[in-house]
Amino acid sequence: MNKHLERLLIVGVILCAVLLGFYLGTRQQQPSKNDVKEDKIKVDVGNSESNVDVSEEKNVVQPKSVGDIIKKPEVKKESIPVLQPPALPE
Amino acid sequence: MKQNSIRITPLVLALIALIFFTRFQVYAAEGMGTCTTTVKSGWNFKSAGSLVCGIGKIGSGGRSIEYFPAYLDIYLYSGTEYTHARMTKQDVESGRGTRSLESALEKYTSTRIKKITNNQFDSYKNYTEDAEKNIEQNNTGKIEEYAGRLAREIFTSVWVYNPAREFTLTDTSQYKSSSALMWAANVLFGDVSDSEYTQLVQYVQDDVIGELLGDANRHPGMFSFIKNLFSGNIAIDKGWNFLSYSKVLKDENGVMSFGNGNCSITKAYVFDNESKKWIQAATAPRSMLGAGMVVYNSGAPCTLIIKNSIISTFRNFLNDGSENAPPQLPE
Repeated sequence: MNKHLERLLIVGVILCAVLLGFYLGTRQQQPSKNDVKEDKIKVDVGNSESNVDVSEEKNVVQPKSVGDIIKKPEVKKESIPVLQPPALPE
Repeated sequence: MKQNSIRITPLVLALIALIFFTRFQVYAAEGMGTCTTTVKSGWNFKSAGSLVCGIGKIGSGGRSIEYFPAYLDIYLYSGTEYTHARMTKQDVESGRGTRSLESALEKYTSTRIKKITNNQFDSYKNYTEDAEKNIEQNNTGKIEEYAGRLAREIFTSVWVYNPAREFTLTDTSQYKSSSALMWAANVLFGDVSDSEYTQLVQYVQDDVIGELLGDANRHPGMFSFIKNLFSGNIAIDKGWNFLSYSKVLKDENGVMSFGNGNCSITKAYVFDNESKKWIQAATAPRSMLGAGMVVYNSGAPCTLIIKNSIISTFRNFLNDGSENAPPQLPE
């Protein structure tokens, strides 16, 4: 292959790899939809065919809401104020 | 299935990149590029391009950045408002330092596009689709407009607030293509040395222009766009415009004069990041190259034309010989 083309191809691959790496890196911060599903399956909701109102029973684990499963990280309010840039010259 | 497959982690990708990069070294180990930017304590007004080498370092995980503050605030001016981004030390050290900047850039781009198109486009995607179509069709008027707009964005500047002590970001490369990028950044946004400038010109002549000229017939619109980008035309808005104190924007005599074109520039100031004061651009010292500059256009939106040896050197590479031809004989 032409050396120049080969070099361009290599640069392209590196860029793609770095971008994909960056993308995957940021994705790892949040659970995927599949992860949420797996967690939900593990929740014991009792015998759903018995038509018993399980909410009254003390030992029955209540189904978790999606909001409970995906615990949002506590976002502390920024205590550092955002300043205004200096004024432009008159 | 999921457990048996190999997970493509950033580490694996980094290894793949490293293997390719080692191979790449064989072909391109020539010259050495260095770019440096210093962020003083407190307010800094800097050419956005001068931050590029630092941003590259921050994006790749800046554990080695000495004296990086607890946070760094960046403000982008869209012509009507500031968009704020905060890079925390924690994000930078974990390789996520550019995350906040990316979302701020998205907001900035969308506001800019709305402003420059008088609300005709409200998203980057729609605007670029339209631009690609016009470039493909070699629509000369539109191509001139896009090139002028892009040139203006290349030279834009940003406010940076550093709450702690001064620190410096330095990036070096021994590889030809990345070195060329650093030399180009130094020409555009810093104080380039003679040897760096010569190496850049040589690189563009040897490795870039041939390919561009070869492609000119197949994509005349794109070639025309690139040519226009090197024409020295910069689109200027009404009122204050954020530019950079750059050698490329000076005239043939090395002065910030703004005399060419149809603009009415009545004020031009550079911000001294050391003394935190505005200094008239015409008298700003060479040591301030890379700082932010504001120019005031008291007339309608216009085009500033920059003429100097740097612009003409690169423009002449792209000319088909017409500008180098001797004058016509008398009729």
